Amino acid sequence: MSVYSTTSFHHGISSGPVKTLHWPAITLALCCIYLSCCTVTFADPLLLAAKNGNEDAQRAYAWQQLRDITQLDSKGMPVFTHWISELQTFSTNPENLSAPAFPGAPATTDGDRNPSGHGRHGGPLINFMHFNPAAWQHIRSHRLYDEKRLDALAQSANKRAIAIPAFPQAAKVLMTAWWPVRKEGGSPMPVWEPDGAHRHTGSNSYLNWQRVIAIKTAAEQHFDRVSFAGRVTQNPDAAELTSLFYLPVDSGLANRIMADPGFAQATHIAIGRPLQSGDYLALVGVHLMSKALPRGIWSTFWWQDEAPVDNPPRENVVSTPWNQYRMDTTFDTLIPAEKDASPNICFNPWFDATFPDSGEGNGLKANCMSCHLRASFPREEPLRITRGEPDILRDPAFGAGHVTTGMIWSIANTSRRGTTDD
Amino acid sequence: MTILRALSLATLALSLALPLATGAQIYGDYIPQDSHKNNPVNVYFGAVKSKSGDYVEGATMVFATAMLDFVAVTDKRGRYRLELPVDISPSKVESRCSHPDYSSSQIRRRLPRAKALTPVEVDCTLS
Repeated sequence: MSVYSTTSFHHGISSGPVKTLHWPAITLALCCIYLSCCTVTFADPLLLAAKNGNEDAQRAYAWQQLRDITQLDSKGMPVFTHWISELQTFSTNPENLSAPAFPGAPATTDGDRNPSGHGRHGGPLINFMHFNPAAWQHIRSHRLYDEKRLDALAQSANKRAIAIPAFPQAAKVLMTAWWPVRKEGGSPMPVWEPDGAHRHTGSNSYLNWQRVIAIKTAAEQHFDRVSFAGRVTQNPDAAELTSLFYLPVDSGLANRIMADPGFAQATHIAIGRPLQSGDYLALVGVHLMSKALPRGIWSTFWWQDEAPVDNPPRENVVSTPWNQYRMDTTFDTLIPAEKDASPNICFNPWFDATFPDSGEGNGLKANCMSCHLRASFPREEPLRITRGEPDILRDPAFGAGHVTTGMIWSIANTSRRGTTDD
Repeated sequence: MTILRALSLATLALSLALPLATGAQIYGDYIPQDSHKNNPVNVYFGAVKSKSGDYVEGATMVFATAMLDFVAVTDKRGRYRLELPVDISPSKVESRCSHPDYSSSQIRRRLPRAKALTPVEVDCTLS
């Protein structure tokens, strides 16, 4: 269908045959172009922020993301607490599909699943994965929870790895890390200090963070000391539980936590006894991945008792207790570059500082996107810490017999297969 | 006679080091999945007591090296067991101990005899 006709519009300076434009046809064509490219059009400001390495724009977007997922429902709970748990998302056991409400049950409740690697070195971590409806729908409709399906995809990758179907832009995946707090208060909690003494190549798990504070469950409480991980802190700083997002623990949640060996150990390290009804779980770390861009937008948050002045001010975007969390975000594996011109760093102290150097720097030099680009089935060295662009020619994660899992390690964790030489 | 005595001591040490077949060990010997797979290990074991001699459940034992922290939690009988890579010399491992209900600790470490590398006994008294 020609968009040209002999009526209505004249090219003023044309010396050739006068061509006129047919407006209904142009409109239709533009609509078609718009619809076919709507994904790009929709994400344009984000693409621009990514392409230009515009840190201010990226940070502003990350805070908005946090604001969006922490909007309150009619019961006063953040909307992300309605997201679907890892167990419900990946289990093939029908009993697990109606798993308990937020934060769900440990993934290891299903014997066929590997725990997250984010507590593997150093201190274990109580962490959960949460999938918004778009992410959950994508995984379930494409049977990405099914090892046989993943196997079939991987076996069809003859020369290079193939990819799972792309997630919709609305998909979001959240990982949360929780710290147990005794009902009577006075629980020790390590606090990350960016400028503290850290191992330059080794693990910086929370076990060796130098600063430990006390968490109060009542304003008037005072504590002379806290003992944690083999150290005693005299006259510790104290913070109220209400300065964090927290969950009251009932007997069901306590039992679920204590049924996972790693979670149980984390609980004992924190409070010296099993979790009980009446205790609390305080949210210390959040890792949010949005599929608004093809490689995702990675935003990571961690609680700090002394939140710094931020630019743009977080108070304009999120309210208490979310303004008490620090944030880092990455839209790209490379930019904005670090001061030494090396690739962009983005890590969360709770999730990533624990990783020792595996050849390209420890967890303090990681980039969420770079590590998660390697997510593939069967898993290949899932705890290799890296940043910058992946080595797709030599890294077996991108080689034949593999299927890349949309940057989500949870999909690859469906199976116990894969190398685990981490 | 000396050989027999050495053998019995070694047996005793190994029996202490091996995991106990009780549910109480669920925390004491929790080892993150995949760690040290197929690699020789150096077993660290011991007990945590209060100053009055009672075994302390839920105490944290941290073994810090130049690169990594290894951690164990005592079971209901106040005992723990942990595996470290065998290439980490016990002399380069810093041992720490704590429990939220106690304010100080004292560590006692016994290295393997002669040329043996394992096991290493580290006990702790909390007060």
